Amino acid sequence: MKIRQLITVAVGVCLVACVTVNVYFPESATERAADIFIKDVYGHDEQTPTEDPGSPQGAVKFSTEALIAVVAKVSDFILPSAYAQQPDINISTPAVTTLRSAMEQRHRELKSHYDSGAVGMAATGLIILRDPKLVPLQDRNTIKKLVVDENADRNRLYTEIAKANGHPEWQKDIREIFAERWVGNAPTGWWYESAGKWQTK
Amino acid sequence: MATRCQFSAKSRAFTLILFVLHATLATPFAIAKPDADKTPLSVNLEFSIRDLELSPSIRLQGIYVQCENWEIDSAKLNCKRSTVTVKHSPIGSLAFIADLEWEPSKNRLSAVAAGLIANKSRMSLKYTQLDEGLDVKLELLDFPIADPQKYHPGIAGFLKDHAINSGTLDVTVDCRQHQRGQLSCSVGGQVQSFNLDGVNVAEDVAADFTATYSSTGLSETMEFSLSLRDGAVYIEPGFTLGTVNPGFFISPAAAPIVLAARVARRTTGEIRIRNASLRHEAVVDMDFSGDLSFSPAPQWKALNFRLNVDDVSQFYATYMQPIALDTAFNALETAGALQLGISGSDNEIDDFNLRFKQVYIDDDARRFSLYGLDGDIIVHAGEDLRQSRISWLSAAVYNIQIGEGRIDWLSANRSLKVDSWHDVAVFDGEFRMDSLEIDQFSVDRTKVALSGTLTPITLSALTAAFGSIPLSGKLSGTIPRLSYSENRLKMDGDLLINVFDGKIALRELVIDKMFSTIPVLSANLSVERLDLEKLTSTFSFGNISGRLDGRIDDLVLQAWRPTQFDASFATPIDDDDPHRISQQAVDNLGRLGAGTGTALSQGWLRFIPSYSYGRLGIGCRLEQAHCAMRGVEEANDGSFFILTRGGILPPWIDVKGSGRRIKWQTLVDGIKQISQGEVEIDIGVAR
Repeated sequence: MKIRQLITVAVGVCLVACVTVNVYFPESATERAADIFIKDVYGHDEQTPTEDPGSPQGAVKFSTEALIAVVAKVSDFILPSAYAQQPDINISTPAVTTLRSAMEQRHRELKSHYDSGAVGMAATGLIILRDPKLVPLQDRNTIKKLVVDENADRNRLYTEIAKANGHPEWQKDIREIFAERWVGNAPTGWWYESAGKWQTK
Repeated sequence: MATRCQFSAKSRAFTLILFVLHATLATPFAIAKPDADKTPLSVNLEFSIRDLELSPSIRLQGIYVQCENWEIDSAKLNCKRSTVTVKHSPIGSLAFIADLEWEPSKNRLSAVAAGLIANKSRMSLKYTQLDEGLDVKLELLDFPIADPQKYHPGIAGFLKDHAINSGTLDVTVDCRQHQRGQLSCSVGGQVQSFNLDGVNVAEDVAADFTATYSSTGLSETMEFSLSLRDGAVYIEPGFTLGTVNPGFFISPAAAPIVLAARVARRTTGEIRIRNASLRHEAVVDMDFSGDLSFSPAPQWKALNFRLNVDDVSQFYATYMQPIALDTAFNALETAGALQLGISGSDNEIDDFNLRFKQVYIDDDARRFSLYGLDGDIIVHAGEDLRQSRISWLSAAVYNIQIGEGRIDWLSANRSLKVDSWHDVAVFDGEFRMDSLEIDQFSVDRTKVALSGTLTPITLSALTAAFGSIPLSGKLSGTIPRLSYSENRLKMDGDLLINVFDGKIALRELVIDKMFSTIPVLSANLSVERLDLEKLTSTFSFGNISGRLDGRIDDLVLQAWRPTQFDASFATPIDDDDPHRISQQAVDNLGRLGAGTGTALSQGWLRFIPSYSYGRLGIGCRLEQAHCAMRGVEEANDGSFFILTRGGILPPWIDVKGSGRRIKWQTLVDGIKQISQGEVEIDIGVAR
């Protein structure tokens, strides 16, 4: 009976390991890459390594990662080549570097608008001029331009990272992770969109 | 005699709760016998109405009227200086002195009232009704207009999501209703401290306005003017361009603005616009007139538009930048003046005249610039050829500096063609154009196509402008056809560049998203018989003699940096030139691929300044930011030869590389350092 259970578990682990390798999107690697990128954009004065307060993933994150780690260890033991096939995320292409530089520069102008709440972080991984009233009339077109330019660069960023890593189809996943990490790395007081509602971090 | 009457009436719109009439008979009742005694009857009239609902939204309370001298005779009823008080929520109390006169025989009713609203605003009303029409004149002074929906709920629908937070209104309304439905009205006045909140915003605006309206049986005519003289406004008209709802910030405090127009609508549906104008002090003067018909379909039967901009900088910031926010033209430094005239008929433009006066355009992102633009572009519908010309002092596309230029145009039958041009300087060379075509004039769809020859450009100027490895020598070539449209530059055919006594052919050049953050360039290159002596003498790599062939396939640059290519360069097999390589060049080749640098610099070899070689060559396939290296020949030990031995007498040297994969940036940094005579790079080579 015990041998049968053991075989069942072993087969199960093998199956899980195989499936993980085949469909794996490097979520953790993308999160790490996103954090590095976003911290560069936000600058060193924005270091707030807190979890996304509104994210429902916050509570289960540890167990999910732990599970992935266990499965990865087991699969590494049983199928050593499997681990090697798990891709890393490359964010050092010329396009991404150019975008990072442009976004770093732009962030210096956007920061006061995040602070005031005029600009908020949308669930789409973009930003929105959520409360124009907080911007003096003479500055409204300036902030509109900043938002347009930032969103154009963010859209390019998600596309470029997916392309640079040989998986254009990851664009949506990358966007979702970035959307979460823009918020996760933001300081308290900034506005973000969650479940269709605006709230402060 | 005193008469007291009390009655009540109730209807949907009118509820009279109490009517009390006190009448004192001062003289004999004269109406019955007007001819016998012409002295009118004088009555003291006093009445009050507790609650009067004129409509669901207009409800008056506490109406009190007192007329101490109500004169009645056979011809008219007349009450002078009667006192009227009314309470209205939310306006407050209204108190008037009023004169009333009614002449039944002439069917004439006249009422004149003047008084205070809420002890603050003044109001006067003159109402005259005659057989032939009606005349109403209303004057309000210092009337508060904050939250106007409280006066009438219908106003909320008109304001939509806006709120008037404060403001006062002085207004005079004068309307006349003539017989047969003819109506004319004039309105004039001013608003002060006007604050509007919403998508459109006004802050402390002061404005004067006038409007007239008249209608006859055949047409309606409206004429208005609005002069903003203080405060600031932000107007979002509600259309979307790209991802943006453009908004215009106008500060009348800094530059007053006057809008005016005369619009007539005929019963046939045709709209005639005359004297429409926008005068924005020191920013723009705009005039428009036109006839718009709707049958069988909307069509401009005639139009005339004039634009005069004395300061392009102010005009761009106020009116152009907001509509260009989602384009490559959203951050320009501008200067100069321009004029535009357009006239047309039947939905076609008959005359188009755009005139530039010393216009300067400089992109903040340094993608393009144009300095000293002068001249006209004329398009007309006639058959005669009409000439126009534009010229500029200098221009730039990214780092390519273009000198003074000129284009002459010819127009006929609503088309515009390039007639002739002035060849332009490119760096220290010149681009001699064989052809130039410009089509489909618009912001984003203009097509430009040209071909020509590039006379020699000093490479040092070119490489300095692009911040690349400094090279000396000259560059020249022919451009078969270069076309630009919809942010895409494409070259048909080969660009042949004569450089280093050899040839470089650039093929299938395409630059996508040219004026975006990340332009993407793709091309193929082939290199033919470059003189290595001339090439290596341009920077401190060390001398090499001989020729070099090569190719770069599938080159892709993003943001002007390579992300992909497959390149290989090697000595041609049939090269008859002497093959010599200096010690320094061998050292540097070693730094790139074989690490022999120190060996040749030590011992007796250091006394030999140069060596013979057989062939040299190096290749790199760039993918994922790494170069997969290869040489001119594979070695038996799995490494590759970058340089093979040659010559009859020793010493013979080979340079071998074994580092098959190298980070591209490391390689680029190394080449830069070598070219500047600096430190070596370590790329993991075989010795």
